[in-house]
Amino acid sequence: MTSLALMLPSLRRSHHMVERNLVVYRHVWMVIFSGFFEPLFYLLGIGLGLGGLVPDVGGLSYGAFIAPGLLAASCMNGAITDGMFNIYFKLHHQKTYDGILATPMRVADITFGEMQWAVVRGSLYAAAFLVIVWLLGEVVGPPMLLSPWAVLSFPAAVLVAATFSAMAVCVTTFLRKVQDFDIVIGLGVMPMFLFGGTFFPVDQLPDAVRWVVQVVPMYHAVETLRPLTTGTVDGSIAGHVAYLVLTGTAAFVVAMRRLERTLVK
Amino acid sequence: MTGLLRVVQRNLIVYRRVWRGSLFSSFLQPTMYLLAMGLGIGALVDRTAAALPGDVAFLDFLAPGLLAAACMQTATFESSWPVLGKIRWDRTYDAILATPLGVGDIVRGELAWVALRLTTVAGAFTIVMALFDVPRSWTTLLAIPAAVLTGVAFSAPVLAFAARRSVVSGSNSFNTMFRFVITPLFLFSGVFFPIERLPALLQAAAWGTPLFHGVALVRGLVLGSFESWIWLVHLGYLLVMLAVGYVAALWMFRRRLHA
Amino acid sequence: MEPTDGPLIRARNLTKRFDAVAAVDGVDFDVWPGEAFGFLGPNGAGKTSTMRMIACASPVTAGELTVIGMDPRTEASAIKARLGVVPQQDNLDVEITVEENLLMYARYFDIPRNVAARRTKELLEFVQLGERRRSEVEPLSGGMKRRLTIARALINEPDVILLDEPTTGLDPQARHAIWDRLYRLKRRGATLLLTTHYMDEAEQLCDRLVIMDKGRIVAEGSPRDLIARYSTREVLELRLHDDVRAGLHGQLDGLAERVQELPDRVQLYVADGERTLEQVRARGVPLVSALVRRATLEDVFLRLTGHTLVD
Repeated sequence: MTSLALMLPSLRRSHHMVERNLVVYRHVWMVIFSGFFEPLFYLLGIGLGLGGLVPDVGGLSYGAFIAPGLLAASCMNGAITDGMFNIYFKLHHQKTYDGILATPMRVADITFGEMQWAVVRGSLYAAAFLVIVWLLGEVVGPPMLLSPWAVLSFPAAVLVAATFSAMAVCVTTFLRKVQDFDIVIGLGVMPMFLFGGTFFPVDQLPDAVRWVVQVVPMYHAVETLRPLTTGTVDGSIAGHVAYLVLTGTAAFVVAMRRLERTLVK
Repeated sequence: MTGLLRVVQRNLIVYRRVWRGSLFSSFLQPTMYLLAMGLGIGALVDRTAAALPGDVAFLDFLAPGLLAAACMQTATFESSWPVLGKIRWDRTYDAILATPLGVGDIVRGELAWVALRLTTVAGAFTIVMALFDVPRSWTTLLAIPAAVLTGVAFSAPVLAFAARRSVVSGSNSFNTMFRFVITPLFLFSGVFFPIERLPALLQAAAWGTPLFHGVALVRGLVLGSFESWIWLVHLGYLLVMLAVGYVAALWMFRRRLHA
Repeated sequence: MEPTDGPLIRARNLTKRFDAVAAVDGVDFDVWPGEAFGFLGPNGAGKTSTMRMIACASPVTAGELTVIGMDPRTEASAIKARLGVVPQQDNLDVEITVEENLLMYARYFDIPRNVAARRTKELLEFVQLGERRRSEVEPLSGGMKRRLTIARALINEPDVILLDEPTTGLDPQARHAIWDRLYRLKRRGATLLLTTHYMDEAEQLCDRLVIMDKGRIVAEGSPRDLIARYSTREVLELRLHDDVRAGLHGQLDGLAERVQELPDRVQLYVADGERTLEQVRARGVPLVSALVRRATLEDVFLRLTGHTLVD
């Protein structure tokens, strides 16, 4: 057997990890269920409530502007809760992975399984959010999905969820103590959430800040999703998708290698 | 009183190791929120001349609301996971109870500790607000204790709740609490927009929720906009909530720690 | 690949280094089917590192290691499929129930659900946790968690069961409950591999053991062999006042095969303890107390290394 074959995850074995998470969440279904409401509350509170004070953003209603941004933000937050916190505690406190590694499961299977689970969960949220956004737009108005392209925002959201999950797992492997979370949240997640283009267009930002923002994944997630839901797709979307695919893959490979080093020594 | 101080002292010793990061985020968070929401969204709002009460700019309207909300969030967090950890994981309270200190000292000590933490959070927030030129009145100084009171009023019932949970189920309950209680309160209690914009029924509901009163009190003090005795209602609500929460926490802690 | 005869585990010059420190420093041993094999030694002797290499949880630095005829470097998954591992620290999945811990573990081994369900039921009975099957893991006592970990290690009907310090940190009653389960496994013909720093545990459970100290094996044999080889049959323990002890000046000479001075007592290695005690009294040595006991593995260890197992 070559070392490459040893590095590659097995689909069958990685599914056991998904199954394990399903068993966990059968007990705490409320945690999953409540996750649906986070972006919905923001949509109602900021999009419609505060949005009532905003006439339009570049010709879009504030609700239509913010909905794809909130979808991206919910993919990021889902990845952080499930990916970062959960995996950190399984890795360092509960030693769950050490137990699993005493079986034929390998680090690659565990990493791949955790990723699949994150993507499944993110996809459920994305689908539910898009349905609600559509219903709200039709029933309460103003419409927030403005073009048939919006159908593609679902697979795009799955990609965004996968990229953020890979990044979250990757970042987790660098954390050594619980206080490190504050740094990641304070200097990474929160700035991306606030300045990544979810709540206002990034061209409002000073040039220097805007350049920084354009490097971070949140910006590309929003720029992938917003043209799809608002029907303003052009060639630039390919660049954003490529960014998400490449950074996600790189993060996954790094995460797997670092987990191997942490768990097998 | 000395018992209470010992519990605060114990938390302070633990906190000393992490205070730098925490102080940093006490300034960073409000700055980022005021920049992004106050100025970023504010730029979209202000052009419309939509009426905010007192015709203030959106940033000025938002900042005091965020101050009250930040205290609610910090207080709720400090009273949930860390307290649960001390009960179930580290058994800190069992060790404390083996000394002359009692359950009452522990509950009052934890509340005093949260109040101390919130004073630094609110103080830092107020400095940041001043840098954004938000305060309109000297009563801004009273907004700090008002914001601390808002937070502590949340802390007491959360302590009561934390006392009853195991690590795994407690952690999940906290997640649910943040999603279904804290986040909706944050979004619909008048922090981001006047609750007059809500449908009549939700407006009435907002009057029943604690964060609304905290936000109204802090905003009135920062903007110097109280013209009537309405602030007494807000203050009274928060004091009653604190008192009820304190009694509940005392009861729950007794049941848990003397079991 | 399938060994028809020969050892289940074979190590030659097996070495584990962490940076410059050799945790395991060139050890040789064989474990045969059906035996209970022990690693006895103090904390830091290299027992756990050896165990982790066998369990494919830690890469071999140098030397040769064959587990069930396979090489841990290339066939880790296949080896692990046939091992049962009880690690030093319980790493149960605390987010799921007692029963689900076993069911889920079975899935990691690709065991079909119906087989997993049957074995889970049997194993929970075996470790006396049937009543607690729907409980969360957290409220279980230390002994119960340990028994659950043992049940979990048996879910794949392993060829070898690795137990790293199976009773460390447990109260005496819980220790006996664990020992009782392990005896039953032995009687069924299971191959057990365990580490311990308790000489009573090693004597009770092991057919054969190696004594480890500072990464090396210092002796090998059955508990009885080792005692016969490295100790006398009986030990006379004397406790003396400090000033008496300081003024002994060879008063105990010639009474014992060997005299061992320890901080709180003097041990005389002899064939007949009672007779030696009479001789000591006859020489007029004032004693605080005296005790005659059978020699144990602790004495073997002391003899071989010059220090005690638990300090």
